[in-house]
Amino acid sequence: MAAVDHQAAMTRGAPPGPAARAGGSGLLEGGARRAMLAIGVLLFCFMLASLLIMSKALQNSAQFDQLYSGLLIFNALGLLILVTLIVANLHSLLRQTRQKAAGARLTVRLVAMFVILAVTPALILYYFSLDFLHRGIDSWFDLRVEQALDDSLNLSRLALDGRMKEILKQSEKIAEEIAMTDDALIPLEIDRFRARSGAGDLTVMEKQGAIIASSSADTENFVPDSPDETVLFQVRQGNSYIGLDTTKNAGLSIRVVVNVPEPDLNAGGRIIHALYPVTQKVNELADSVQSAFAQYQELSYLREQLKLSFILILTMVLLFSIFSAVWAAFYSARKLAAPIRDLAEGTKAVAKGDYHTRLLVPGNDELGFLVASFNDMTRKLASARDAARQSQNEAEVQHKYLEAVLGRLSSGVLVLDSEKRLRTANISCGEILGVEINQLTGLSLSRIGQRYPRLEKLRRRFQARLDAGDTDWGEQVALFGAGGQQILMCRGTSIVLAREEVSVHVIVFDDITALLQGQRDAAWGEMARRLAHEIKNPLTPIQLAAERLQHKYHRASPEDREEMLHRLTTTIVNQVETMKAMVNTFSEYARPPVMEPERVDLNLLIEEVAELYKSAAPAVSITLDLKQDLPPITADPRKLRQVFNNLLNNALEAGRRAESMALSIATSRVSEAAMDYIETRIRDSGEGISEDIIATLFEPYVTTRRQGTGLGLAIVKKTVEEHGGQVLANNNADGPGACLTIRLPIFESRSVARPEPAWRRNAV
Amino acid sequence: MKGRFLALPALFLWLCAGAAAEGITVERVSGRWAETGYLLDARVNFELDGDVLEALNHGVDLNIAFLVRVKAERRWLWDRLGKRDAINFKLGRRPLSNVYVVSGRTGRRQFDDLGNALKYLGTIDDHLLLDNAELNNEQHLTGLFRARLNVDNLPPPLRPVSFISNKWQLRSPWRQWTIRRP
Repeated sequence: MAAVDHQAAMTRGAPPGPAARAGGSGLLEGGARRAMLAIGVLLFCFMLASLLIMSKALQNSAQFDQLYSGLLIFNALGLLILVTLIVANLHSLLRQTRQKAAGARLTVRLVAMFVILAVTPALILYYFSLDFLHRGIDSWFDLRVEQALDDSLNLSRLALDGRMKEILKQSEKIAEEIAMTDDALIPLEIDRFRARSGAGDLTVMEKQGAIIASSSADTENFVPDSPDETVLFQVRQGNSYIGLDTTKNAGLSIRVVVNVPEPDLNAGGRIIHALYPVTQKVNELADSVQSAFAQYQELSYLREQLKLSFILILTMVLLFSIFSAVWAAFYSARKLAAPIRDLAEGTKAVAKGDYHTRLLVPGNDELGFLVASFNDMTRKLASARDAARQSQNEAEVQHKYLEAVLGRLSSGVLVLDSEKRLRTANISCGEILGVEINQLTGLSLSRIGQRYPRLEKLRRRFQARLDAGDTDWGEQVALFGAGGQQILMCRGTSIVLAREEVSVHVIVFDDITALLQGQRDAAWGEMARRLAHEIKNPLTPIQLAAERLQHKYHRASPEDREEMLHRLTTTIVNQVETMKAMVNTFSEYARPPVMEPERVDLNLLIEEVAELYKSAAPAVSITLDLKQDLPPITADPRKLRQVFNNLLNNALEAGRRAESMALSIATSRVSEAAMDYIETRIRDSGEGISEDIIATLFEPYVTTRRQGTGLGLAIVKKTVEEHGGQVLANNNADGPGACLTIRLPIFESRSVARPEPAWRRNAV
Repeated sequence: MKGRFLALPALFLWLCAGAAAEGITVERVSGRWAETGYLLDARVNFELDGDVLEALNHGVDLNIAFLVRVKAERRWLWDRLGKRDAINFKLGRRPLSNVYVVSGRTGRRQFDDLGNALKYLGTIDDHLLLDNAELNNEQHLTGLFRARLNVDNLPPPLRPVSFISNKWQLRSPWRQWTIRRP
């Protein structure tokens, strides 16, 4: 019963549906459980009936007397079956408890409670019943009653003994009379002898058993009754016999056998056998006394057996009651625990995510309400889960859509949470910043700045904006890295997510370096075109006209005017030449970079340029501090030579106004933002750079010289940036003069992506 | 587990069967053909003592049954049971007359002495076992005879004890003899 009951939990009558667990096995288990219940109830009824019949049989019921043995065996087997059922249930329950099956411990507690409730009163009742049984049976037997019965029996015997003595004397007297009667006359006289003696039967026979004559009061019985051999043997020994006897047809009678005294010793010997009936009244009384005595004697003898039998039946009733109660306790406990076990199983299933679990409602009681509530809960959970899944799917679709849009944006988009941690970033973000953006998700801005020092400036700007609480801002940020200056146009805004009740910061930025460069190139190209068109074209006729004027009127002019004419025309020609040079310079600045890169030893190139200036300006002290073993760089040597020419020229021009001039050129290898550079520092001892122009020093038309075009440093900056480098200018902190710093990247095989120089980008 | 379950009924059956006490022995059993049929003669010795004798002297009647079976031998099959007969006697004591009474199919006899009563009880003479109509054509007949105390007729209080106590299991082994056709 137990084996099939505990597994029926989730399968019993589950409603049809996607998660309905009812199946053939569940129905079979339910059928087996009902069959076992029916068998148990039948066994209970049969055993109860058999115990009742046994009890009747024990009380000398003739109706069930013959069934006693069979019922005893039947009840023993029934108890054995009950024990087997209980042991099987117990074994099953213990196994479930060891396996920590759902509801097992509750079933154990219920069974224990039921058993205690059932067994305790039964045992108490059994104890007192045993006591009452002993006392009750013992009370049946009283010594006075026993003595009275003995006395009545003895009294009966004495009464009969007296009668028997009289009969014996009377029989012996008849025997003496018969002894004196001739054998031939005995058949004629025997009726008279019988009538006179009062015997019912009187037989004269030989000692060997042959009948001589017989007389009987019973006219229907012609066969005389004869004594058995032992009596005859006793009489042959010369002794008389008298005793009570029960004849075939009558009740109690007195049997007398006496010897007939024979005067002739040689005679064979005769005996008289007589049966004297006792009176009806005596017969009834004697029978009553004898049966009462015998019944009491038997009852007295069977007293212990009777107790044993009653105890046996009582014990069987007790065991039957206890076993039935225990078995019913198992059944009831399982039936009570089944909904709770189902609920536990259902809860486990829900915990595992199976929200379609439905349990059979056991009834209209509280457990039924609980199970119905569970079903309602799982139904709502399933609906909520389905809705959540649908929402999640929609969100995922939206997310993918947004991701696709962001992924295809050329602008970098990153989202920071309220803790300023990177929450989301698109691919362009990583490409613009030159970082593996996926590895930065979840990191704070400060961690990102530590990991990528090149982005530290950008981090500071973001941090400042966020700390200031700007909700909508825009700013241009210039980064310096391996690819040179990178200008980012950043726009930020704060968005409050209603669902999460937190604010996030969305920052969108674009790399506008190329855009600015293009705008600048386009502006200067337009300017060069205008110069060529508006200025350069009239210069040649002006120059030719001035030269012709000088040549034609040189001889014809008066001597005093000849010199003035020569000076004026020469001035015009020189200024035109100067303007031509200026226009050519502008044209060169505006011209798109045409690079011819090759491996360049920067130290060697600097030495060559410095050697030219040492010979051209011997008054200037030029010292070189070039770091040895510097790797070669990839650059256009012609353009680099022009850069250093411009820088040295500017330095020398600045030093001409001073009394003495010292110029030092130093190279070194530096690393910044995971990028290696060759840094060249050109340091002079001149007047230094005015603070007014130091910020726009590298812009066109910025110069302190009267004759300068203002394009020298602009071309330097343009050329350096075309090589992916940087150029900086500042005044010396430890003395007069200024210092110009050029950083040119060393391109070696590196794994980290970095911005490429302009000449590389243009080459693609 | 099953072994443990089977141990209980085995013990119960062993107690029920018990070892038969040596209280009844069949000294002789034989038969002879007469005009009416096959007559059975048997001599059975009863030795009642202990609980059985005490019960008898306290008014408990004892039912003695003589069981007789006749089997016809068959060459290739199991023996056919041709006749089943039972001769029942009741032995009791009457306290008033202090005699032992034997009653049965032949009538009722009383004895002053238990020995005589048992001797009378154990003597079966000329009991008609098979009449001529029952003989059929069986060639090889075997007779089986045993005597036992029928505990099913004891008073109910004594029966549980008689079931489990071998003192009450009075029965002789089956005694077999060959019935030869005349």
